[in-house]
This record gives sequence, structure tokens and C-alpha cells, in this order.
Amino acid sequence: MTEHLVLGIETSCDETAAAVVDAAGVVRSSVVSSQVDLHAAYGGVVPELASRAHLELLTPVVTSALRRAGIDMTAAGASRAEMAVASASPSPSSLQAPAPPGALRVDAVAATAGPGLVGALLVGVSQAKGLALAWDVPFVGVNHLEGHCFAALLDHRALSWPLVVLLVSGGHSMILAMDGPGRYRLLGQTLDDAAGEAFDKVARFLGLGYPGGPAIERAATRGDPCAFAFPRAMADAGLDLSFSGLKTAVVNAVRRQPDAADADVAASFQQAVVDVLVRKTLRAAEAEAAAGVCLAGGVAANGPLRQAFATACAEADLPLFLPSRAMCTDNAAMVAAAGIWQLEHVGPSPFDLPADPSAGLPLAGDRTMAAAAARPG
Amino acid sequence: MTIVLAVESATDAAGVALVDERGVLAAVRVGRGRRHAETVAPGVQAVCRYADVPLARVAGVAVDVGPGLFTGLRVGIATAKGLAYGLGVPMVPVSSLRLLADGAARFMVPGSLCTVLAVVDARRQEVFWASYPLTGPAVDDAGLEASAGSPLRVGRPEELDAGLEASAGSPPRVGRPEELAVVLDALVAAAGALPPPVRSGASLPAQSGASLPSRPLGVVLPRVLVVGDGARRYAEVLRRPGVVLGAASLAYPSVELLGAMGVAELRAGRGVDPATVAAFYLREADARINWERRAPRRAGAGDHG
Ligand SMILES: [Zn+2]
Repeated sequence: MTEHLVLGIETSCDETAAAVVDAAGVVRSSVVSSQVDLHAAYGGVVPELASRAHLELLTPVVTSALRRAGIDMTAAGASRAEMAVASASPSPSSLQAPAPPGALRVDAVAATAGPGLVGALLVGVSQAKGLALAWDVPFVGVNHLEGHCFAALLDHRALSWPLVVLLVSGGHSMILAMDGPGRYRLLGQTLDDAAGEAFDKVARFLGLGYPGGPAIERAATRGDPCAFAFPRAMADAGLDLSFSGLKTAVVNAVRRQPDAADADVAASFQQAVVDVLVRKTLRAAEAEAAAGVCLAGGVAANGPLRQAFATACAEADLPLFLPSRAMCTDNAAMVAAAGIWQLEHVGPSPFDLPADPSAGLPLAGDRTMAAAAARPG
Repeated sequence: MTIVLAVESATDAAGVALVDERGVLAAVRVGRGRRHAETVAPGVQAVCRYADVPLARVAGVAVDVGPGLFTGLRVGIATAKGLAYGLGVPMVPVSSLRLLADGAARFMVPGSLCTVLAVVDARRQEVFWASYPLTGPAVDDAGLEASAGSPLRVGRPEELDAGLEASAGSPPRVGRPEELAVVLDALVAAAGALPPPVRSGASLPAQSGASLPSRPLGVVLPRVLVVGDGARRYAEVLRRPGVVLGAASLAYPSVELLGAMGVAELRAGRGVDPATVAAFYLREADARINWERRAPRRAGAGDHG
């Protein structure tokens, strides 16, 4: 009768998020409280401020996610406490106090355990453990990067494998082969800055504000993407990425032409990033004979990047799995979805699981895949 | 029975306890590990197992809200909030400094007077502190009246209704140990103006409430007792005549005492909604970001690119 609802919690960076997802992959609720305004004054995420905000916001965000999913765990907890009091009393009839008919309950709690800011991660992991203990359900610590890979699965049910995944965010930029849920191979990654980091730094240099992705995208709408011929680093060499040279090229170009329009600089910079990401990802898809291409991470919310992928994949006759913008940026539905899979195929996490700020994506062979292998499809 | 789960992780030690009116049902303590995320939640499982008490029977969650090590605090508070919210029970937030002071008061001679200075290591060459003029636990009902206005009454269960009286003291502050040393000098001077400290022996005073035993028995009590891990770390700066630096047993907030406080507060109807429980940081956030900051290009004269 249970609907296998999993509560996901995400606190790895500057979004405090909670979501309820069911075993069929339906998102019952997804609540994201952004701290962008809090960090904007500093031009970047301030770890201590993020951790403090997570502690303050997480309980209300969890409450909201549960309510929107139609779950009232507080009442469930209270009724269990009443039952406990009743069971301590001598009256045997009160032992039978049933849960309210049709009441939904959470069957597991998943939280991002890394990578991310350690103090921020610990708030989510700790609260998730507390909730799981209180509800007597499993706790599962989820890899944030794997969560991003599950975002596309929430929006698109009929996927075929392997997929090539471009995962681009403020902290990460990598090209992956995904042979199925939980089965990843790293094909290429950034050698220096993450793509989102490059957006932030260039936006800051241009005085366009924070966060840089939306700021650059906004400015670029009025600019000429061909105004500057910024370098496409290693466009034809391997599948690794590099953005620090591009950032330097932007700085140098602006120094040479101080009167250049911000819009033109932003548009040309954005175009260079988009070109490299599209070319490398499609080359990877070709080499892997991929059944499709999938985008993930906050940078995948960038409009011109989405448009360029749509065009290139149509030309190459490759299916493109594009999560909604809300599923690209950090959210807890993706964490719950990864948690559901992990619970079934790897098992719950121990309650002494620490946060791992530098956790890598679990690659093929990193964990026991016996359960996954034994299960066709 | 009012069973309270207590979670304490404000310093580099962490503890979890289950306490009811009769005392401690089970407690675990992990010293000086700073691996709170790995110890607090398993600690909760352990005390429930040892006490054979399911969490569903817990009536409230008490938590040390600091000041203390930020990350440790947050692990304890976030876990405690998850537990209380998930169980649908109220919380009792308690200051680490208050816990330290009241922990010391448990060992004071009944009826004696002393200023307790609680000092928590704040790292980066700073300490958190607060001072509390305390009397040792009295042994009769007069003490109950005396303590009625006190925000928290503490002690082992048999002492809960006794007269551990805390007057205003000094509010919590953060600063360098040298600043604290100046404060300490003032406390010693002020204490010197009080009646001389009680001399007492091992026997409890007669049923005389807060009145002092008339016969000195040879134990010299300090005018100022300094407790907490900060007191031990900066012992050289704080040591002076009239001051006793607390033993190692007084260096960390007691999770058992926290549980006893939780029981008393819950019974007094002073539990709070878990959503309202926040950390008591006492120090502004360090506003450094994790990559180098650059001045905007057109921000004006101070352009560093
Ligand atoms: Zn992310």
C-alpha cells in the first residue's frame, strides 16, 4: 500500500531545497529557497553565510515540501508519540491506535553528502539523519553530481542508453558517458575553472553583477556574439575543457578596447563557451555511439546553450534530453531521485556517514553494482 | 515519565543522552574528535538501544545552541531539529556557557557563593565567555522560592527543585583571552568585596537554606571559578590569585545536565517549536568567498582588474 515516497534534501551550496519524489519518479513537491540575494553583495558564495542560512531555512523548507506533497509528518510524529504514551499505560486497547487512514508517510530520507561546501553539506546531512531516525526510515547520502545526472530522468521517462551527459555548473564541468542509472564513465572534465565559475568571473569583471550566468545571458541579448573572436580552447583536442584562457582573453580584449560594449563582450564570451561545449559534447556522443545527449547543472539553464544544443542535436539526428531549467539548477528532487535508485541498488547509508566536500562522481567499479547487474533493464 | 533526548556538540567533544525525572537513562560522549557528523546520529541510536527506549517515547529534544565551534554546533542543532520536528515534539535550547556554569555549580558546596566564569574556545585566538554569580545547591524548600525567577534551574533530578540561583552575571561576549583577563581582574576585585567565601567540610549544612554554616571546616573555596575548554587552553593568561581554573571534568558542557535541564523546562511548559531554534553564534560570519575577489572593471579609481 505504501507509495515509496522519498524526501530529498539539498544544501551543498547556496540553495536550501527539499522535495518529495515517489518510486515512479513523479515529483510530488520541490521547494527551493535561494540564497542568491544573501551572497550577491559579496560577488560569490560565502561558505559561513551559506551554512548559517541553511540551518535557519531547512526546517521551514522541509515543512513546505511535505505539505505540498500532502504529507503531514508532524502530525504523524505526534500521533506516534501519543501511541507511545498509550503503550506505556496499562490499557491494552489503546495500543491499537492506528495511523490516520490514507495518511502518506515518507519511506526514506536522502540528502546530498558531497561534493560541496562542507559546512553547508553537514546541515542537510545532519537534519536528514535526524528525520530518518525520528521516522524510523532509511537514510541515504547522495552524490550531488549523480543527482544532477538524475534530473533528466525525472523529466524524460523513456531514455535509452548510453547517454552522453554534459554536466556544467558553478563548481563542475564534465562530459560523462552514462550507461544507465548509476553507471558513469568520465570522458572529459575542466582542467581549470568550471563553466559557471567562468561566467561568474567574467560577469564580475564586466561589473554585470552576480550570479554571472543570468547576468551574462541578459547582457548578451543586446550584443553581437561575433564582435570578438575569443579562443575556443582545445576545441579539437580531446574531451577535456578549459576556461581560464578564455577569461584572460576577455580581460585582455577589454583592456585593448576599453570602449567595447559590455553586451558585445558578454555575447562573444557566451558564444565561445557554448561553441566549445556543443562541439565537445557532440564529438563525445559520436565516439560513444550514444543514444542521446543530456544536459545537467546550472549552466544548462542558459538559453543560448540550450538553443545551440537543440540545433546541433537535430542536425546530428541525436535525441536531446533537456531537463527543465528548474531541474538543471540545484534542487532536491534530483537528490530524492538519485536516492531512490541508490536505496534500491546500493542500499541505505550508515548513520555515521560524513559529508565529503570533494566527493567525485561514483564511476563504474567504484561501488558494488551486483544488485544493479542482477536486475535487467 | 518525561524522557528527553539531549544533543550537545558545541565544542570539539560531542554527547548524546536520554534523561528522565529519575536521572540519566543512557549517555554517550565522544571526546575531542571534531567528527560530530559521524558521532551524533549513531549516538542517538546508541542511547536508545542502551536505555531500551524507542525514540517515539521521547517527549522533547534539548540541544546546546552555543556559542561554540560553528560546524559542530550546526551538526548538533540540525540533527536535533530533524529529530524533534520528525517526532513532533518540542525543543529546549540551552546556551553552552550556561551549561558549563551550571555544571560547575553542581560541585559547589551547598549554600556557598562563587562567581563562575564560563569560557569556550572560539578558535582564531578568541574565546566566548559569560560570568554567573552562583550559589551552590541549597537543600531545602527555601531554595525553590529563591530560584523561581531564574530562567533555568538545573542539577541532577534530586536537585531540580533546589536553589541553584543565578543572578544577572555578565552577558555572553567574544574576545581575545587578554580582554577576558581584564574582565577576570574586575570579577576578582568585585568578589573581594563580598563576604569571605564559605569554608565548609564534606558534610552538608543543616536544614538552613541559603544561610552559611557557622563553623569553618577547612576547605577554601575560590572567589572566581573559571571553567570550559577555553579556560584550559588559555590557563597561562587567566591564572591569578583568587581564581581557580576548573578541572578537565569541567571543560566541556555536560550532556547529562542538558538532559536534566530539558526535563525541567518541558515539565514547566517551556519547550519551543523546533523551527524557531537557531544557533547562538555570538560572532559575525567570516565573509570571505572561496575565490579571489576582483573589483569590477568600471567601478572607478580603485580598479585592480
Ligand atoms: Zn549543482
